[in-house]
Amino acid sequence: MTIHPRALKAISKIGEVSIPRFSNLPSFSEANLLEHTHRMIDYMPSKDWQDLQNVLIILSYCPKIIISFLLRIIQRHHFFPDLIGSLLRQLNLGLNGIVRTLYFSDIDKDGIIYSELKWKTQNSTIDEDIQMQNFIQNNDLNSHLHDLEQPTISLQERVLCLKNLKEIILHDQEKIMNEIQRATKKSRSDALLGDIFPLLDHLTYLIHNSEKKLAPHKVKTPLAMMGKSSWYTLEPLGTILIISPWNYPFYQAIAPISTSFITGNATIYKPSEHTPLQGLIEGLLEKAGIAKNWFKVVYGDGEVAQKLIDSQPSKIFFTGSVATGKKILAQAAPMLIPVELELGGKDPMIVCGDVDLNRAAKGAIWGAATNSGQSCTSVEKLIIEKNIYESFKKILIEEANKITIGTDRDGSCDMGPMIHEAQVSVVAKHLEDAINKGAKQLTGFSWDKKSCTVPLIILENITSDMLLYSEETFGPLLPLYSFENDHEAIFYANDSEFGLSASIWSQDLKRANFIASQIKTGNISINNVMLSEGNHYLPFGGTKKSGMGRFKSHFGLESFSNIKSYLQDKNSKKIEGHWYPYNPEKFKLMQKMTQGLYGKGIKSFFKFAVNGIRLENKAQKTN
Amino acid sequence: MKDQTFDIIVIGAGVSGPIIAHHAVSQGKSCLILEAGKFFYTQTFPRKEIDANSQLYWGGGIELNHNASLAVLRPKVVGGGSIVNQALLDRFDDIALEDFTKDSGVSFFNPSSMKPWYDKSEAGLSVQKISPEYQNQNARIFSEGLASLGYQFSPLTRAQKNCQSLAGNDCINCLSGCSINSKQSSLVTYLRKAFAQGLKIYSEFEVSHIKTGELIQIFGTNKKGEHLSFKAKKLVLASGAIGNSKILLNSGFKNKIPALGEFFYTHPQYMILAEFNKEIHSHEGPLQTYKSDEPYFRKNGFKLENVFAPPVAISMLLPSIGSSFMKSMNNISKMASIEVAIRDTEPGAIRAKANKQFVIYKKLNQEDLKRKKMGFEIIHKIFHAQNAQKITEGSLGIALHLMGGCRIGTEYNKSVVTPDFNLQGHQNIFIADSSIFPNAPGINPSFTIMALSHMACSRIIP
Repeated sequence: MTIHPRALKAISKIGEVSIPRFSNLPSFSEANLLEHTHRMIDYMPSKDWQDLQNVLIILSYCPKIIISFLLRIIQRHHFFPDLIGSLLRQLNLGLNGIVRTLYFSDIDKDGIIYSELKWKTQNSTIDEDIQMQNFIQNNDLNSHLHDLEQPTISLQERVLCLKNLKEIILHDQEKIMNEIQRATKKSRSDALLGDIFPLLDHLTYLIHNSEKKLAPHKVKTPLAMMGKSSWYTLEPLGTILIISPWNYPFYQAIAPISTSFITGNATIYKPSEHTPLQGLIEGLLEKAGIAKNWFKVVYGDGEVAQKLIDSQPSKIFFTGSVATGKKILAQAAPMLIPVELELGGKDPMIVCGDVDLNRAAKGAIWGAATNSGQSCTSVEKLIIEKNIYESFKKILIEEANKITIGTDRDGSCDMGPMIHEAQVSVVAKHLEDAINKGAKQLTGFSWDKKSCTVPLIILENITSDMLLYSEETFGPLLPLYSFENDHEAIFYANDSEFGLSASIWSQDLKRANFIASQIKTGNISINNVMLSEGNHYLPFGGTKKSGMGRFKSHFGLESFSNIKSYLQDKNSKKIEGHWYPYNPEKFKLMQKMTQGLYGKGIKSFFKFAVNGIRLENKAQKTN
Repeated sequence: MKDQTFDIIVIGAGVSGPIIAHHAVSQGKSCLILEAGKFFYTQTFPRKEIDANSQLYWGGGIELNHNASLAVLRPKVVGGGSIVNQALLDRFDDIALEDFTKDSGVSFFNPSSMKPWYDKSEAGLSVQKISPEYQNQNARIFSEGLASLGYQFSPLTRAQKNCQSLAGNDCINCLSGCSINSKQSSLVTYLRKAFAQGLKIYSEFEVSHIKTGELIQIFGTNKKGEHLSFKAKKLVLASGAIGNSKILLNSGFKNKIPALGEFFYTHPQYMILAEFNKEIHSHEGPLQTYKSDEPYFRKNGFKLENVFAPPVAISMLLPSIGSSFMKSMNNISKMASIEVAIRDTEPGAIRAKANKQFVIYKKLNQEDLKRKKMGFEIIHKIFHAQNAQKITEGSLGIALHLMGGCRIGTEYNKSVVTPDFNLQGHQNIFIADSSIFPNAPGINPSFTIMALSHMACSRIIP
């Protein structure tokens, strides 16, 4: 339950009056116990607490002398007639009850209040305890509810938790980046820009928008339903299962967990077994005030994920590969568990001939190489207009050769080594296949096709039979295409089973927007790269085989919510015109009314009104 | 989970429910106990008073009667009263049984009919007389005071196995659950045995109402607020005087059974604190050692016990604030306490209000007040005889023997439960806990609840 700040102020005042410093005992305020108030309040019947809180709020405005007077009066309850006496006794139990329970409960570990009263206790035997734990586990139907439940706090308090979380992440970012780098080997800058920064941005969006977006939404009620009102609310779905990949192990953990939490859901989170960040996520969430039993982090591989799906969560949110996405959807289908999939991409970047070459080339290099190409929105098709192709290629090669690779601690490296060996072999396979089929390698000759330290490799002379033409590489390979007219560019961009994001570069915004409108994708950046996903006010998600559903923005909040519609009528004697019994006369009226309502002009409206009233009168009489 | 059906469902895992549930599973029946409280055990019982009060009792600590003159302490925990009580075992004397017979017309309220069931209850527990060897100063003041005034007293009989007094265990701790499994709560006796035989429990499940029929349907909510229902061939209501009354009132039985919720008794208890000019350490060792065993007290409807309580409870009894209050609290280690428990004659009632709210009507009549006054006078005399410096009458009455509301009897208008432990008119609903008591016996109820529950077992599962 929530505690009003003024109620706490009143408790503090009452404490000072009732429990002053005495001999070597500290006063109530010196004992500093207010933060424990919820340990009582949480268990009070909510009506009792609301009543008491109202009294406390009033008292918080009273000077101490009045409070002192009141506390003395309530101790003399027996002098008053029963009705007033009863009220005073309730006040005594409420007001003194709170401060005395806080003060004399010996909350402090060292027993500052009554150390001489600390009692000695022996311990039970371990066998007996284990037996009882087993009974709770096996015989109590409640026990399966114990480990995970929906947050019991209000939306405002949930927002407060996210504020705490944001501050903690900001404060602990060096430590967190160390953990991310230990798990992924990525460069320090990639850890900052790919995990920390977007997460802080995501939390900021939730902190500033959740209360408004999750409030009940009033909507219009059509004329035919005059006198009624309509709205919808966003309520928690229950338990959200989040399964995340290894490329952004920190962002992909807390971003969906925080969305699930703010929408009021319980959350089960399974990180990739390759980048578990063991203990990090739980620690941060708990420190922020998100209780242990509101979320659960389960470590393990695909088999563990299958078991989690079998436990029938209310929704699954999966980010990862198409292959795994298909398996999850198949497993969830017979149980009718809704699934949101954020899968791969083969994202095109189209560069028109009128752009600033230097800027576009630097953008392309970053888009292909950031996070070592291990982003679902990495540039994997660079489609360049023919008239600038050669000069653009030259800058690309120059820029690619400047890239520094390593797991640095000070931001001096551009790229880190790749995270996962299996993915390195995909890159090697795509490269070898392309070369065998006639592609020309332009950069990255130093790579031995085995090491995780993969440089950015630019390729040209790409044909559609090459693996890297259609399959997602998820590594730093950048194939170049050239086009002569826009239709050709659009064809290359769309000739893929994926549709996650794309970028179009042109000075001519009209041209850029036309090309953008023709691309079947979920997200577009114009004259920039991988930036649409940077704005948390925009929804994010893919089309075609890149997934289903939308994350981020209010769509993200909705996708973790049960959207509940309300229509409210007054309780009256009125019988609706469209209820039984039907008869030819009512049918005619309904027909006329329908024509009137949807016909044109004032005459139609009049027809609707008159026949509506007739129908209603008829309905009351046939009752 | 939807509408699971059991042979027997028991509402309430206190003193009565587990005995019947254990019998049911030992006869091969499927059985579920629904319990509103949490499932704690030795290591997990809440230890600080702030947590123990709020997590082990209804109302977040206490409930109040209609005019807030009595603090009703109603346990809400798996094991119920047997977790938080002092485990005192007393068989009813002739006076109590005769008065039960008079008010109920039931034939088995006599020493010879009750004896086998008391014996059976005793056989299911470890029972010990508290040895005066470990008595604390509080007990010594009590016994010496009574002796000096010429009143009789005797050591208490308690359901305990090994309180480790020799090792210096302080039993005040066990007011929030025994940490060494010495106290013979339902948890370590019948529930443990019954779980091993397949008993299921649903803790933190609050029953709202029941619907009768060939199968009885029980509705309620779990701690997530999910509305669930279970079905049973037979239902046992074992959630105490207030719990049973509330569930039945909520289910609309008041029309058919006018005595429902009436004849409610509590043995109102009042503590008197005395400050001495020496250390007493009332919290040490066995919390209680003696009870008054004085025919004169019994005849006049009260008894005295040497008790103590942890600091928050003591602080709530002191009718002062500021430095005079702190001065008394600073002397807590020099405090002794005796309580009077009244055998109340004025029947109270549990009645429904609007919005599923309930009121506990309970007041003391002239006779009850006279009994309280006599008790107070004797306690004052005891403390004076022991040279107490300051005597404070506790400002709040305490109600923790919650009895009646579903009175057993032969007369339709004055009872709720038949002599066969059936809810009137319902062959498949049973009650055998303290709610069936026809009046206040003036003796601790728990041993008799056990005896009646054992007696009821053979009627529930013939």
